[in-house]
Amino acid sequence: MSLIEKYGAEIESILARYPQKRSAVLPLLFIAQDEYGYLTDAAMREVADLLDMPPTDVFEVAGFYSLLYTQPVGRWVLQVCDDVPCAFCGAEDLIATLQEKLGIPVDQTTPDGMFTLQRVKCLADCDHAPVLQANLEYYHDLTTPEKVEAVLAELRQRAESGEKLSISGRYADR
Amino acid sequence: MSPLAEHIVLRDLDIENIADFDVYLQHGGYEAFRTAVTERTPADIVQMVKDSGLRGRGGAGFPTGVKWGFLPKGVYPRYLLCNCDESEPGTFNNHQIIDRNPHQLIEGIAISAYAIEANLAYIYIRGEFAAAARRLERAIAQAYARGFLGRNIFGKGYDLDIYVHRGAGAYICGEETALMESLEGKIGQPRLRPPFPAVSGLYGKPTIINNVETLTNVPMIVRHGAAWYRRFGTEKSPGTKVFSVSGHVKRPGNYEAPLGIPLRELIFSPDYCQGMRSNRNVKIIVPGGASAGWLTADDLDVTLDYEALAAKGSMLGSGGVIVLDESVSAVEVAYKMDEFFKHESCGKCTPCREGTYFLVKVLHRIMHGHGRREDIPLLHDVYNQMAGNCFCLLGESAVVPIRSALRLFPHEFEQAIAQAGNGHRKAHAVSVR
Amino acid sequence: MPNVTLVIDGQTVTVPAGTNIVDAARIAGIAIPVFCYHPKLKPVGMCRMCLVEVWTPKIDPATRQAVIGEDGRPVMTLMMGKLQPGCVTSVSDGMEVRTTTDRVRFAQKGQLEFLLTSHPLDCPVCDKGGECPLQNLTMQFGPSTSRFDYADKIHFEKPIRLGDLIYLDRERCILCSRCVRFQDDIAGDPVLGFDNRGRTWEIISKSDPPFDSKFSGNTTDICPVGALTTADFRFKARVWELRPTPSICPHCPVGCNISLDMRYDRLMRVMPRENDYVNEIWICDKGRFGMRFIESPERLRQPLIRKGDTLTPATWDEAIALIAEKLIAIRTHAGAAALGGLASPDLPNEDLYLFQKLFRQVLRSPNLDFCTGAPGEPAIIDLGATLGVGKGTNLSNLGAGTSVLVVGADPEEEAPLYVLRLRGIAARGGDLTIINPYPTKLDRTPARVIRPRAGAEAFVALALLKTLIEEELIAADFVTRRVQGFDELKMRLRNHSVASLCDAAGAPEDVVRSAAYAFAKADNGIIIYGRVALASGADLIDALADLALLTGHVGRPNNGVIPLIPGANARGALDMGVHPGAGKKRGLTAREMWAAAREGRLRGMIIAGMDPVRDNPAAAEALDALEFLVVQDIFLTETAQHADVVLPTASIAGREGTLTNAERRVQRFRQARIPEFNTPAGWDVAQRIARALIALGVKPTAPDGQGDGRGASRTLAKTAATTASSDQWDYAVAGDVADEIAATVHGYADTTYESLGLTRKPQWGRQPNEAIFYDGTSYENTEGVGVQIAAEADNPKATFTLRARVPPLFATNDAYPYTLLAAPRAYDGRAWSRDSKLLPRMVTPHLILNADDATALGIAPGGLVQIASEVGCAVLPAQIDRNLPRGLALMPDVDGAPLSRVQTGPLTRIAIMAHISETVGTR
Repeated sequence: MSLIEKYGAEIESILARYPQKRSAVLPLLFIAQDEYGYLTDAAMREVADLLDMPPTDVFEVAGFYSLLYTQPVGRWVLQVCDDVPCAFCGAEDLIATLQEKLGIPVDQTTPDGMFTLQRVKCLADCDHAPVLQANLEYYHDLTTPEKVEAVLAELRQRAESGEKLSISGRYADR
Repeated sequence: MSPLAEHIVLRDLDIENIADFDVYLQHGGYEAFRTAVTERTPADIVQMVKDSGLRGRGGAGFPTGVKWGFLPKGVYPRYLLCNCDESEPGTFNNHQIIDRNPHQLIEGIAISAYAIEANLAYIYIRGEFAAAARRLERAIAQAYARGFLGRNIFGKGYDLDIYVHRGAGAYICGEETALMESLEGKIGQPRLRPPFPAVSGLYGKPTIINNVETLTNVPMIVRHGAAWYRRFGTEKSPGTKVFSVSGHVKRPGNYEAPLGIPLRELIFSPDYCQGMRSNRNVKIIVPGGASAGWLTADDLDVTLDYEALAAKGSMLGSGGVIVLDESVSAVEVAYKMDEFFKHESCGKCTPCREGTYFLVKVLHRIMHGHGRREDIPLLHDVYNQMAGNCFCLLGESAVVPIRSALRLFPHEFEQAIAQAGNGHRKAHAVSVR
Repeated sequence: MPNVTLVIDGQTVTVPAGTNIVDAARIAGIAIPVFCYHPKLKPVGMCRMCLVEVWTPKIDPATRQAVIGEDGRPVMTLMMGKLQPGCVTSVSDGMEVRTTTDRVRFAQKGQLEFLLTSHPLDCPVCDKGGECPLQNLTMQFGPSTSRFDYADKIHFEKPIRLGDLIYLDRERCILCSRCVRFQDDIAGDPVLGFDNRGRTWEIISKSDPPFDSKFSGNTTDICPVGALTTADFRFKARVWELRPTPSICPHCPVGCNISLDMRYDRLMRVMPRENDYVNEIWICDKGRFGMRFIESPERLRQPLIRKGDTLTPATWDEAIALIAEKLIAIRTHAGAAALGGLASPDLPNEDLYLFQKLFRQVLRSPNLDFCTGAPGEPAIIDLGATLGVGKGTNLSNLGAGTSVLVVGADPEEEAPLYVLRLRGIAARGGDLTIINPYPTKLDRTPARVIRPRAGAEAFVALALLKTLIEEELIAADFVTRRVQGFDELKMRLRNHSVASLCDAAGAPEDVVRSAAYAFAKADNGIIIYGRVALASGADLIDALADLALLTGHVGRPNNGVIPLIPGANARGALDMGVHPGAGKKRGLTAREMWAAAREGRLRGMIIAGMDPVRDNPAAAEALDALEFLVVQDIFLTETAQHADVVLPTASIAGREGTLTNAERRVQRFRQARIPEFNTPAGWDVAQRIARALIALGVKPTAPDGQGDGRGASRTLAKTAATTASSDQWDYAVAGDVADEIAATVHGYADTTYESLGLTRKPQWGRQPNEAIFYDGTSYENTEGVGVQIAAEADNPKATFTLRARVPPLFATNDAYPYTLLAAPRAYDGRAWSRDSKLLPRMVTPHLILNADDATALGIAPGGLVQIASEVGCAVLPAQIDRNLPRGLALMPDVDGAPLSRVQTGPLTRIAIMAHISETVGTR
């Protein structure tokens, strides 16, 4: 099913916000990557078609912004801030723990397709350093391996419970 | 300086659950907007904001009312943009405002839109603030439901729509013209100026762009008047500022304080951060986000306002105060900060794109024990080849950490280089927990 | 614009206000180094190579006056306290720019060091080496060594294909975005962009097919490094080995100035040559990549004579002798009127002139044409000779104040460079109206688009006329002095309203009215019409003429009509008189010749450079009925296969000559190599035949006058004395023919090779220091910008009669409910495309249908459709276009398209149905 068939009303309401169609490219790419798991070539062309944009311009946008994924990612994209000040407040420990628990290095996806681990820049939550986002929901206080383990278990459980997940953070609530 | 009895921006600290629409209304919410639309002309509001001396809280500190006055007469439509692309390392006050006091921001946008005669406003919020964006959308929907937004507001024929537009991960979109490009569905790269946004901004139309904190001040200014607002802060920097304090302090967080508060007070007062964690000494203070020049323990008596910080070769910037103790290496702090700018460099201009890459490469090798004697003059050359030569402030900001580090801590660079080849390997980032 | 005076490096310069500092310096002969800046592109200030010190007088905020220092001179301040990018900083009075200070040098050196951190320094194997701005500027301004570790460079896979024509070497790219901006702003094909950001930025193209643009080759010219190279030239030669030969593109009526870059006698590449009057510094890909045919192994090498069913090689003497003998025989027993000649409108003036001279003066036959006589071929109605754009027209200067009507034309397919020129006019503030029954790529240009029903275009033109009359937008003074029949025109239109005419056209009245208003009010008005307008016919074109006349947009530079008549030199063919109406006695048209041949009235023909048999079986039948057929060509075409004698000629590379473009600019091309296989130029073939005929006793007549018959009286003493007398047939070189053309053809008096060679010191000529901007791009024009000949309207005494009238509506036919139009295609797959890198882009025969029509007919994209008209039917694949108007079907006019099987005329009523393929034995 195409995006317009599945999300027609949502797309219409997004388009209604802007005097020019192509302004809707980010919100539509968010929908597209949720729908297809990441921004496939076909997905970007579909968005281009919806917005009467040259396909090249859509690929350009997808390549520019860090939250648009043009390569496959897991159902949960885990993003740890490794920037100042987090870098000096335990971010590296958190990343090391996550790598160990997930059994993957940064920028990889677990073989079950559940988690992708990424380093990112400042998430504007520095008073809670170190900071993790899972599908753009904030997780704090990950100061021990046990706490990290608990969060991963919670995320796994949410995925398995059939909860609708959004790598674009469209349902983020924390 | 005593802490504020009542907050202007972080009113969530005074009023429980002010994020709740009904609570906000019970505490006079939207009355300022009602007064503005029903009793004041747009010009009155502009004058009031001018008189208040409110200055942009996003970094540049430009007087808000003066900025509004740059709009060309009689040219419509005009747009108001709220810049909530809060991405400057160490800065997180917009985040809290949206989470805990969203209605005051929306009211501020509404009043400001009325003042500049705009009927359409966008809140450009960084993509990572996914939950916050939804919170804002719900709050906006509540305002629509009460008739505070939409058509014929307060029966006065004024129409206003506000939409939330989420970015998708790019620090550069906080630069106001890059933000407009991004909102127009393009890659977020800064535009040439002139033309300035007030003349030709979003979709080529006159556009005003203000930061979240700036706009959140507006309802209180309209409610209490310019003179009241000027009671806070200093003469040239009136009002309060929300300082986001992070790093090695005991109690990091957002603190709203009058402009002009001494840095020492913010860090050590029991009313604010309560001093340093682990009781180590202060080493580096970055008072206005990663783009601000570094201060050291010697500078603790500086007051936090636009003028005093500028005099110190730094800036108030976004109000993100990063406090780092002596456990950190200046080389590594400079490396991490410039790695940030390298990561966020949009690619448009040569010195920023190539210079940040060059800096990070050299800093990386110094950090990892492969530094060379010629690296210090090289670093000076590289940042001088960037300084003043970049297309926008991102590249200029990238000069700041390395220049600060080399100026304040040259011996650390010399030492790292001297130890190079002696089996010295710098450990990864230090954790002090 | 007022002028501004400033000082650059101590030199006082006065330039128009608004000029940027880099351009101001260019004018002063000072080179500020640049990478992203290009004089033809909007400045963007990205590369930071042009940083300079800009000092301005200090202004006292209180008095707003300049502060005067103790030395009595204004106190100067450094703008913003730092260096400024010259390309995006406008000059102002009293400004002082310093481009050579230590601070500037440090910045320049710094930017170059930065740029080289991402550059592989593989100059020895780089095609750009030797004409590379990065090389040049590094030598002049850069550091001698790099402090950036070679091992730290980012390495990419070496060249990747950006499309089938252009390769991208990402390591070499310095991210200046010239290519992207060219595609977006100049070409209007936004098919290039950047992936990623920052240091990992790289050029991408995601159109389908990738880099889908007819102008892609230009990006390799303006690329200031070797990042973009063409599939056609890469690794072919080092640029310093090349011998650039000035030439003219032989592919369309634009007449782009090109250079054939030769190594010895081999063509290495085609490059644009600057001519602001024609192509600025650009050429289209057809011109750049469509020239490989000249070295095709399939080229004809020697004359062929029919022996039974086969064409066998013969000597020139044998072939010419046979031709002379046969032509005399036919003339003797059937009369001169039994002879006819067709010459291609692609042939140079010299060939066309002697071809018609051979017919008119030696064979004494008036049967001459440059058309093919195919059933759908429209009549050529030319407004160029009468109302053509005035002498001195230069489209690249036009912008605000100019209004252009593009009527029934698809410039991208018919004359691609006009897309760039029209986009340029629009970008500079000009007004553009597009009137065409179907969408074209030009619609992407900011313009008013009027979409009449196919065949009803004339009603739009009439509605425009009626609006002019109603709203009193007539250029009254001009009409009074030079136009007749205004009252009669008003009478003819009196029973029609703008609304009813718009209704008949199917066009929105408000848009038509605004177009009329804009055109009438403009200082300069230009009308361009093309293939679809010719298909629409005289009703439309007469109305267009009246539009130009009533608005007074004729007889002046930058005003008038530009007809896009198919062929690179249709203008020349008309002017030289290769058409049946040119002489005193009217001859047969091509179509009449086919009928006459079948009926035995026409017995012998010479066909030069034309392939009328291709895709037209009726022409083959006619040719087979002839007694004797001579074909001269560079390939053994389908037509040549019907010939009794085939004569090979030289290509454009092997000879010299002139072509006249759509704006009546006569331009000379030079000989780039010794003629292939010693083949003669076309004009020499005509000469050889004429001499043989004369040697056998044929007596030439005196000239009967070419063109409109007035040429003979304009013979110039100067040239008459130095050229062969017209009946001597003693032309040693092409220049001799050109001299005779100048002496005898109306309007061509000033077109001797001497005049054509002048560059006429154009304002746009590049400065001596401009290698910085142009190295590796188009060549400077040093050998002539050509001569634009006058139109009749340029004569202030010439008067014109209005002829517009309201035609009947194009009849509908329920049995054949669709309208079929032939759509011109640049990539038509014909002879020129041999061995071209463009071959994968050649259009194959298909039918384009509206999406709703296709759905109603049950036709899927790519599915076969059957079409039928009153005369025949054809089956071909369908392409669905959601933007095509309903009821219209387009058949691209390409190699193999079955147009002649179904067309009843330029506009054909057809029926369309899904084609159910019969089950043929399988496996």
